[in-house]
Amino acid sequence: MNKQEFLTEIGRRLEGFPPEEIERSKEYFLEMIEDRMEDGMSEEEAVADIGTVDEAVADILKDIPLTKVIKAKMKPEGKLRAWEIICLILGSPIWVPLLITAIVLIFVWYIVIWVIVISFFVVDLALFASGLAAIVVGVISLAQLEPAAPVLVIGTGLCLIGISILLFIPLLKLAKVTGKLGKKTALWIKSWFVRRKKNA
Amino acid sequence: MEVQIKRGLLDVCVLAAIKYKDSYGYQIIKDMKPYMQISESTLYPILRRLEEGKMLTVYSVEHNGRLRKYYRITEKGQKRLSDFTAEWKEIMSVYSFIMRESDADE
Repeated sequence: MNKQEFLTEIGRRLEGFPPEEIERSKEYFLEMIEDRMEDGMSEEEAVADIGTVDEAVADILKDIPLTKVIKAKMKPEGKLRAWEIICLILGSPIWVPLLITAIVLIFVWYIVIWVIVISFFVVDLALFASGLAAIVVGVISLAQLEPAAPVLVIGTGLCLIGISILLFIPLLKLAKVTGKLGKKTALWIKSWFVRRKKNA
Repeated sequence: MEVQIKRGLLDVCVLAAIKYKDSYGYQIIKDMKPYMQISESTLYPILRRLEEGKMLTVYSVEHNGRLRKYYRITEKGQKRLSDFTAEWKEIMSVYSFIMRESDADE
């Protein structure tokens, strides 16, 4: 691949983004390739050394928010023709609900993965709170009752607190994994929008 | 290396590469190479992030009939570097404490 092909491909993948954004990344990679060639590499070697177009595009996208990516990719190319507008309007009972469904699905996905984590944390907190309560009740009733029952209650409370503390560590891990999953989903949706262009 | 740590380190490394002298992309990568491997496409978002954070400024210089972008560190960037070194001193003292403990175990 020569540098022109490399840059054209980057431009093509980023189609729909603000032109200055595309120009900027093209300039950057062009400068990198030319600096390498000055260093004694051939054009092909220099391009190969930069890495693949996929990597370059993924890194360019990394710092652009998801909403901006979708907006850029949703923009129609050129002006809409009359029949396209008519189709859009006539088809709106179909595509509007579909679009809303897609957005809701993404939203629900994020809620679902986080609700699981949050409910675990709530259970953990409940264990801790009930353990604490058991100890308090046990200590108070120690003064009024025979020691056997209050000691049992205090012991139970200690057990509950112990369990909740032990559970807390894997729960933190779970939250971390969930966070990563959320990020991966965002990247997946981004790449879906970019790939769609490539196949078109 | 842990991703979060690496991300933070990369920002600081790029600032360090232009600390004394303005530099351009390829030179920054070459300067960093002995210490940290970094690819062109990784550098791109870092430079953007630093520029948006006003840690560096960009200007173009003509070179062999084409334009080359040079990066200059700003006062804010210098501060970020000195903050980092101050923080790192603390971490190093903790590190030596950890290592001393493990020496005593043996």
